Amino acid sequence: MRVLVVEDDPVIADGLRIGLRERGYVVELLHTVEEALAALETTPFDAAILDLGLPDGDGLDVLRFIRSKALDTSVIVLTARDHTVQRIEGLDTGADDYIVKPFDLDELAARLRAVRRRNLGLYENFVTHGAVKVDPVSRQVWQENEIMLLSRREFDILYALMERPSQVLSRSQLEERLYSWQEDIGSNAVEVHIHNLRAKLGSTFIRTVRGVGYTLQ
Amino acid sequence: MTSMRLRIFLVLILMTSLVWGGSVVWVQLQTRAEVQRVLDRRLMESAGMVSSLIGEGQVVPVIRPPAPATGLGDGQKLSCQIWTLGGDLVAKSNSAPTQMLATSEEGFSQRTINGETWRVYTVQVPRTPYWVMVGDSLAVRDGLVGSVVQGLLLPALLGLVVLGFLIWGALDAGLRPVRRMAAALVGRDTKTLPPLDLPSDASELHPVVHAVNDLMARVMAARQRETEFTAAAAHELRTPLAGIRIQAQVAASTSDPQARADALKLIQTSVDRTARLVTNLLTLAREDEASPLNEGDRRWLTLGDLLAPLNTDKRLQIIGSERTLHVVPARFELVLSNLLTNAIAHAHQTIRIAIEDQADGPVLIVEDDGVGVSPDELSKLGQRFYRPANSRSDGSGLGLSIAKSAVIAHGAKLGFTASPLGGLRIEIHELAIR
Repeated sequence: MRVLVVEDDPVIADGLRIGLRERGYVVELLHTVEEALAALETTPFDAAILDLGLPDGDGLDVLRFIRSKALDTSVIVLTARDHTVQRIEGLDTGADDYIVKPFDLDELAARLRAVRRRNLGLYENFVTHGAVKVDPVSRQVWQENEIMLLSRREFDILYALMERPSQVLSRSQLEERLYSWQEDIGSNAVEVHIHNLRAKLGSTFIRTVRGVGYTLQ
Repeated sequence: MTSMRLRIFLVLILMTSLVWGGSVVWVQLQTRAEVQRVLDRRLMESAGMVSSLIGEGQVVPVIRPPAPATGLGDGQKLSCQIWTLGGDLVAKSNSAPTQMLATSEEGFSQRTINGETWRVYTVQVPRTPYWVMVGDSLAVRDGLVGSVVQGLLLPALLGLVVLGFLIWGALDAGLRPVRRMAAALVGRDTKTLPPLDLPSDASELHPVVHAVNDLMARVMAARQRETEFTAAAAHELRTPLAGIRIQAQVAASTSDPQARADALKLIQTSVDRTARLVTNLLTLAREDEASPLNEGDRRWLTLGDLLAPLNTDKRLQIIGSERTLHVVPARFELVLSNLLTNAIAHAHQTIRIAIEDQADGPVLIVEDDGVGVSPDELSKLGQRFYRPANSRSDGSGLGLSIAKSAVIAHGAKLGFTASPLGGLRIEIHELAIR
């Protein structure tokens, strides 16, 4: 899951970047409203974590932008203000959830999954397609009730495809979900991971749509 | 706790009763004197009349054994006796006793016979050996006075009861604005504390209402400031705590030794920053409580001496260190240390502390050659937790507030302008400097 984090406090921002990455998220870290708007213009994000007090404006400005563009991005507002008025304002502006500082990283990760589930219309964390079942919390995959061992990238690709089983995801869409801007992507990295997934799950589970991308069988 | 209405009521009733009681006593005394005078005069006239009857020989007294006293009991009437000078009873009226009503002396006298006190007028019939004694019972006189007073007292008592009800009702109506105000005060929304309406029917209460409204306005303003400050302080404290929390979690869960070391380092930095913030918050709270300062604590100290415990930066230039300032050392150190810390944090090459003589007198100046503050941000400097966009991020945002507060306590003024050196220039005007 690719997550945009907009937070100006360097210590919190650093903790979110490392903590969420270790919990399986692809984190893009930005510090100002301006940077965030520019990033949202060009890159799709599954979720955004927005701090309210930013040096050049309010996190709610970013939230309004996301809602006005009808982007498919779930939003969690991160705030040090716990007045009911402000929480209500945040939720009314279109936030899917809010969390008050200081907060627990695991709770934040769980809320990210929860808002994502809600946006996709799911009721449980498990995603099942055919004989394959994926648990994004423990990052485990089962086929015919047998545990499969997948690498981090392989898991991310599989989960991305299984979240939207009817959609065709292009290579660049998958790359955006897998890698942050700082990371080097090998030219055929996605193909390599798809190849490995097919080796483990059977060659027909992931289908190639010529000239478009990949989808599930 | 007694009710105002009850107290006024009791006072009014007591006063009325006293005045009326006094007048009853006066009326009684007057009536008694008048009754005495009129009845005495009647005694004299009656005695004179009997005496004249005997004296002119129209009636010749003959000594006979006295008839038994028949009507002593109905002694309401005037009684008359005629005695010889020798002490024999010649004649008596029906109601008179058989004993002599008075001693054989002319004029008024009083005597008690058979438990009844008589007022008697005695006259000797001229040129004859007879005494004429005319008297009446004092009890009758008292009864007369009593009935007059009673006739007065009864309506007075009735009047007092009626007056009581009237006073009670009048007080009830008169005190209605007070009760209305009390109800308005009690029933008010304690969150917004709306001002009380001026009662149009009780101008006496206007000063009270004005005072209460004024106080409430000040309470609301103070509450507003406190709420804003608390919200800001909560925000400022939560942010570093959130940083510590998240970094601690990263340190606990990561398998990367470098990431753990970085996280622990960041935790230390954040703890230091939080500690600084807490110190500044406490200093500001104390500074708020301490003002205004005690004028007797002021000392004349040179700028050099005041800066000596703080002067730690090589870039600092002091101009006019021999000038003396009239300040409370402990409080003014807050000004210098916070302004200096601020300047040191932002200066590139130069920090200048100077005393300049300007048109309005000597001015203490602290300036630096840092990036400075934009003109629209200058006006916000000194507000609590305000940090300009390009400010160093580890400051608490309270240093200038503390300095400003301490400067104001000294009766001086703090101003922010752009420095010719390029950075921020802070001027302290109206400080006592020699």
